[in-house]
Amino acid sequence: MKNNFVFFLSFLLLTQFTLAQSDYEKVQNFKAEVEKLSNDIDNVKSLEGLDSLKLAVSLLEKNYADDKELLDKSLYPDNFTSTFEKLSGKIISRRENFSDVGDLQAKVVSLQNQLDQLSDENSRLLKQIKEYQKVGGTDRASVNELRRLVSDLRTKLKQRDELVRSIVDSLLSDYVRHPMSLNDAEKQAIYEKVETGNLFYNIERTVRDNLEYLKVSTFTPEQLSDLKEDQSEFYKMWKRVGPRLAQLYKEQGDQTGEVAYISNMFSEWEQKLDERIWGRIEQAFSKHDIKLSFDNGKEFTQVFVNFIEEKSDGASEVEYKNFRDSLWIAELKVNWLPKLIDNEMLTVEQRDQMEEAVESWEAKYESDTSWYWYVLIGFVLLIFLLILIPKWKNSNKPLSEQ
Amino acid sequence: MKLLKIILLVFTFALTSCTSITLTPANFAWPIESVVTTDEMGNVSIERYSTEFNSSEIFKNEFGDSVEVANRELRVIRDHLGYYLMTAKGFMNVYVFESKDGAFNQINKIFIAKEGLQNPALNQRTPNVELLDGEKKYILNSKGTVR
Repeated sequence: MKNNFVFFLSFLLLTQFTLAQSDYEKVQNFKAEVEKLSNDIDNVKSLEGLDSLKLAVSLLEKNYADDKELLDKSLYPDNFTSTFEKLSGKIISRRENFSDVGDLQAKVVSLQNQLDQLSDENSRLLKQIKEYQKVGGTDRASVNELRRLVSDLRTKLKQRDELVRSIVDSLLSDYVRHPMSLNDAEKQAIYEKVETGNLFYNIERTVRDNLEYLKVSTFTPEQLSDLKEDQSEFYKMWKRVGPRLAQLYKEQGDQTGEVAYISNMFSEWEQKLDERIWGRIEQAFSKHDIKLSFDNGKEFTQVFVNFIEEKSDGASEVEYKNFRDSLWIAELKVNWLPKLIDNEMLTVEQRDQMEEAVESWEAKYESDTSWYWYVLIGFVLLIFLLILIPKWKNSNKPLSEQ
Repeated sequence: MKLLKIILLVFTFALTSCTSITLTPANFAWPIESVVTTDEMGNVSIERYSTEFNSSEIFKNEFGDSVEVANRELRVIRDHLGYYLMTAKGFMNVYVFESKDGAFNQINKIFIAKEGLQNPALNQRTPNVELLDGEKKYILNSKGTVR
């Protein structure tokens, strides 16, 4: 039907051209036809449509073949041949896009299957963990089983996070990288991609499961750092994609709320995870009977520096060494500070500030030690002189006096 | 005799240096007419040929001094000899101009129809120019109507 319409339109135009005698009109009509075809090629939504347009281009070329000389002179800086070369080039490029989209869709479908499988496994694992926690078995076997389940869940969650990220990348990377304005067909293609990848649902589910995972276990600094890295990557991806999707869906309206909701969930995920990390660092202090409280890198630095300043006034060297070896070096310097910096929760300047505070505390004991050393060295020298001087005097007396 | 030789030599030199050269053949024909619309002051601009001029006088000549010159369509074509032929809807004539000293100077006015042109169009048909007006067709050159 559509093809018939194109033929009919072309025939009508052909008839019009035969009647028209003004060269100017011929050229204007030709330009209008070329522009229309060019727009149609840009906006075509299927390969079948593209085939019809290819036919329409051939027909146009045939219809205007008699006016080639006129058009060659009039279409400056183009000419008849280059005009059709451009249209053919556009058709080829659109055909490639269609095959790319086809490949992409196949890839996404395969990823989607893996994703569904992982999501089901994650739900099962989460359920099992919660059941174990309810029963509250404290025997070694139960504890080991629970650990194994949590570890499995983490592995699967990580795999799924990566899968979702790769789906988003496959579908939207071009759109995100090139901030151009889109025509209706391109917008439609993005909507379709979002639908094909079930994107909103998958992202939302990933974030929700990660939030659940945070509730079901306690974590080592390494595990928390790993989780934070994962969360940061995911959030960065959403910060790139989210605003562009929000902008796109603003015109559609129906999914705008969804984009905002997912953005909120990401904020919540970040906030909860950060709370866990800062809480875990607070625990490291409380194990040494130090009660400190902080929610971010700035607070942590300030609270820590204040604590050191207060503590250094009255603490003994033994207390300092105890703090330095068991908390500052073993916990903070080795475990936490590098991870906090890696995850952009603490700046290098803030870490330096903390190090300076500890060094200035240490300096107080270093100066005392030096004073003792000076006394000791002076004492040794005195002894040395007291022994050697009489001997030297004796050795210099004349033999008769000795 | 010697003086005569010197005078002849100087005269020959002066004559040679004063002679202008001619580049020929040349073809100034535009492939199609340009259809331009006047602004409020009657100015038109033919972008492709980077040509701008004020067309008020041509409209006043056709319709009288009180004519509103804004937003009128003017059709211009240049023939192979370099003359500009101009006309518009309602015109009784086709005007022929040459460009000289930064102006268009009218060299001819070809009368076409008393009732005025209804839907004129100019086609390049070197060495002539074809004027179409609906069903009617006229063949012109800068000197007048050929047929």
